[in-house]
Amino acid sequence: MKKTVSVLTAISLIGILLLGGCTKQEKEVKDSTKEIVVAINSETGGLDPAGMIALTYLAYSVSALDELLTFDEDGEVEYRAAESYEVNEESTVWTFHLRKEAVWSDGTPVTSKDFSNTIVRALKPESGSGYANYLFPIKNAEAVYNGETDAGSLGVDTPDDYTLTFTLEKPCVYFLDLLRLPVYTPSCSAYARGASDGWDKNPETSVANGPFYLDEYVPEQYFVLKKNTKYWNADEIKLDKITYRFFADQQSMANAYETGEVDVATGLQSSVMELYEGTDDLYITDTIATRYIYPNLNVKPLDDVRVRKALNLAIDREELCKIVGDDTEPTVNFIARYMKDRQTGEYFVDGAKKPFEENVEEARRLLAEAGYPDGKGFPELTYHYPTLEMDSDTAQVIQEQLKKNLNIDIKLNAQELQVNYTERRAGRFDLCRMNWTADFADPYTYLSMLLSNSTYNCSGIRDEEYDRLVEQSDTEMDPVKRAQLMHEAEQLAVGEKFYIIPLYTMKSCNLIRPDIKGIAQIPATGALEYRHAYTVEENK
Amino acid sequence: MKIYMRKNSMLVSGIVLLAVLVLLAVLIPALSPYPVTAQNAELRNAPSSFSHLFGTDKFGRDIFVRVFAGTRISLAVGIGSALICGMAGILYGSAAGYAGGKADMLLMRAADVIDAIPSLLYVILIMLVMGAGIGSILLGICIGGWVGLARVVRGEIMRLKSEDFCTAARLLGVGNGRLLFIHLLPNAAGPIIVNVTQLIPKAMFTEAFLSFVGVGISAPAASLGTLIQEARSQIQVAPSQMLYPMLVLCILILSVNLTGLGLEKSIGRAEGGGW
Repeated sequence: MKKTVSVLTAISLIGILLLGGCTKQEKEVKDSTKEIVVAINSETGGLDPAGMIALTYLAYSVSALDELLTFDEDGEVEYRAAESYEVNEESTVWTFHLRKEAVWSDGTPVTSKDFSNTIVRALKPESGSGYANYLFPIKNAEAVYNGETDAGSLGVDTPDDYTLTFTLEKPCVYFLDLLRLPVYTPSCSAYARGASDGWDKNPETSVANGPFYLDEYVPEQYFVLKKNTKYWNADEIKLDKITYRFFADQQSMANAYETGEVDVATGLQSSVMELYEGTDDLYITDTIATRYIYPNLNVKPLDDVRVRKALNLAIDREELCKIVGDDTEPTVNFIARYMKDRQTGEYFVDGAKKPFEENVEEARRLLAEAGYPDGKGFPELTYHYPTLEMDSDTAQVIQEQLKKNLNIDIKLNAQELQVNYTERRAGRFDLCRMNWTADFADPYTYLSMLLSNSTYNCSGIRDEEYDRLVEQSDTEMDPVKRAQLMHEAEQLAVGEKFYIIPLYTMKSCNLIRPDIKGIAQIPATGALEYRHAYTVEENK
Repeated sequence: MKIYMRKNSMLVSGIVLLAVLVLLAVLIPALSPYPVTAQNAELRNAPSSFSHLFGTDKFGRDIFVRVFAGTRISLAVGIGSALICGMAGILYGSAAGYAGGKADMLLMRAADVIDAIPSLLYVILIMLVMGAGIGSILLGICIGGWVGLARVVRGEIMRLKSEDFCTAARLLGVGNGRLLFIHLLPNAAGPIIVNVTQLIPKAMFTEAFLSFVGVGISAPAASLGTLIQEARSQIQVAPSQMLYPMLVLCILILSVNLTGLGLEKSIGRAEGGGW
């Protein structure tokens, strides 16, 4: 009797195990056909297009929000929230006609008010929007931002629900390129009123007009986007769900890919390149970005152009990139190495000679001339950088090179990413790491950063001649002359005044499961876009 | 001492291992032809060879030198914090135990409050104010590290206080200070020494852990914890970079632990006590 009972128990236990296994397996197969998990960097900033945003928003918005229009890989216009546009001859009045069938994920129509909602909120300085200055081409936008006039006089008109008109201060040839920026994307006026009341991360109020909407947001851990079945172009969207998981560092991302925890991991360290070389998983892309250092002009002796030039000339960027990894390429330009000139199709920076050449002898001479022969009496400067491995490696190499070449000491201070951003914004640093990934496909995205009124100008640059040159390039309609002016402005800021210390540009090393297809690269920034991704079923 | 040593293989092996490591930590960074932070772009991720015994890291820095420079930091943190915590714990605990009554109650509850906050929090706060460095780590570990020892000392003093020899000394007119430092504390030396020794590996481990999670010694200085952390990204390409500092950290902590356990055994035997 006892024996039968135990045998029965054993059989039923095995049965339960087997059955349990079956259901689980079935579920996995079902899920894996329509869902991808993407690894992204730690949480920074919010999801409100008019608020303080950083990497997390950029990951969210490419899947969840539709801008008015964008450009595809061949440079052709791709209409998204708008279905057509008109522009007057002077290119100062731009009229967009919105899609009448477009709705938010809660079913309410997307109207022109939703677009002006973002713009008006972003122009309030308390919004903390780092992109507000990209609204300044609009008439009266800068005055509204500075509180000199009220939002009523702004050059944004909404004659009816489906017409949106921008009146510009002066002609702007790259206005269409700007439209993909956060401040030009809509935020639903029914929910999005303030920047700080948390509507942006609450799935109930954070509605989307793009192919996916926010379903769940767990701070510091992950967020889930689900397919927006009400999307006007929903038939083209194959995925049901995208989960973004936050990772503190690249190594844990790579590990998560290795163990199958995530399907896509982007921006990995260069050792992954060696490891996955020759496999279908590895996907290397050019990022339109420049890593550079801001020397704080309010700190002695960095206010001396000779000192800044000496620092620039004493860094051996070839050696730096060799150590930091195969995914970096030295640059002495501010405008990203891989940014293309739309007219010529060539890399923009190749259109002029390099701003300067590295030269250790000259650097030593300049430092002596500035009053610090052989680094004597030079104060110990602190270099602030976020605790990312690439930046930590860079910091150590630069510290060693400056010690060797100029005999000056640099103190390293690794900071948590968010702390680093805040301190940089507040201008509390001697030297600070900076990275700029292009927001739109025009060199103006770089040049505008060093303008006296730019929100990203954190090192106290006030140069009237530079401002004048950039402004001139901004209104120039002839592409050749415009490029010339932009080269001149870059030469002034980088090659004469040495306002920044450019270091390198990066390739992005990504791992993507070979059975996921349709991931596109956004030409303007080099970032990946998942809205048209789909999975190929493998025949096992 | 000799008798202790002869029959106590744990103590002997612990002390020998520790002595070897201390010697290496002092000599190798001083004698090596490679400075601790010197980089060499031509020689990145090199495997072990005669010129670089442990190979080189991704900056082309000699790992052999860096490991033993890291051992220096670990030893400094371990011994430094043991000394500071030891002093603080002995003074505080003996004061509480000797005074007894309300003073004891107040002192020990205050210590409980300090002990209730994890040392990681202290270290992070101190780092924010003082910046990263060996001083901040030492301070962070020591702020709460002495409490355990203070409890042990208090218990010992309370026990000894009621012994006959203490009453006799008091009857002979011995003052408080003399009674505490000449008569009571030396009698409690056994458990105190053992406990202080055990503080050393604890502090070393905390330092390695803090450096590993990134709130430790700032780059490019190398503690064993930071070396392990830096080798993480290379683990699939050059796993030995992580192996060497880990081995040395293991041996270091093992040697201090062996010494502590050995001492405990010897003193316990010498006193004939049952603990």
